[in-house]
Amino acid sequence: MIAIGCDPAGYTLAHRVMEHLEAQGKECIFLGCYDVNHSNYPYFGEAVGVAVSEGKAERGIVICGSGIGISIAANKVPGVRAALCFDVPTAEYARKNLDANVLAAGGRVIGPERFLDVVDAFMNTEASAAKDNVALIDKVEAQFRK
Amino acid sequence: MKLAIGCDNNGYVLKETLKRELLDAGHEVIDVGAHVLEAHTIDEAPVKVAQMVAAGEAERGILIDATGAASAIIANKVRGIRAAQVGDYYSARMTKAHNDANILCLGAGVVGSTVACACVKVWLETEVMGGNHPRRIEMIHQLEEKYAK
Repeated sequence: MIAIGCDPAGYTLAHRVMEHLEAQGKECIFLGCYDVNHSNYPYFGEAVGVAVSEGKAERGIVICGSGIGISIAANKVPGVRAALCFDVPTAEYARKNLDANVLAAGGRVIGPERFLDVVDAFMNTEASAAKDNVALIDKVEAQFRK
Repeated sequence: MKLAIGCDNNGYVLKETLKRELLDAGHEVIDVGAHVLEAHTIDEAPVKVAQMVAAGEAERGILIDATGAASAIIANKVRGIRAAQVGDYYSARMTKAHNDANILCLGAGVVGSTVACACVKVWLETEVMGGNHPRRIEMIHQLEEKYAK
């Protein structure tokens, strides 16, 4: 299951990504936004982050105008490692070395065809060298949640 | 402006370039390392810079690693930090205007030094926008409170 969330600036790209993933037989759950006037990106970043951290989705994708605001919000949820990826090498690095579980992008920054390659790289790369880095991130998270 | 800057081994060369540019522009720069080109874990510089910014010891922070992703994930785990992973001018400008990002994260493996310098410059010069944006920043603060132990 892949959880997808966006604000209005990411809405078109989010739906293009969903079509793409569903055509590959992957199951997606759309967590909003449902209203073009609902631009509170932290709400949708949190919703996707929680779906991933609670195990309801294996991965998440979050899209706002730049991808930054929604990725900051997602990263505030414990257990979430959200990476903003506009190219295939960044997506591969984030998966391989960080076991990133949320992919972020900006609907005003990247076009759909270019982003779909990034999505495929993010979905198809294993976290083969991430164990030590994830332990470091978990340690930092525990330290600063107090 | 008083800025904290830090990197891992992947970001060392770009960090030195950015530091020189910032000093030439008249900023005060606190360099938390890496000071030599040797292996560093991904958390060292992000934790130091994020703590300094959160405590007000630096007004803003800059982090450089391979892609910017590791630094952004780690810095954002610190309360009060809004760390923006950036690789283009538009995003660098908008993340200050909309998110009031207080740390900029750059990936030396994917962003060249000219673009990186331009991103830092516009992020430092841009003003925070009003309207609905401060309310959304407050929502991020509320997430930090909600998920604190």
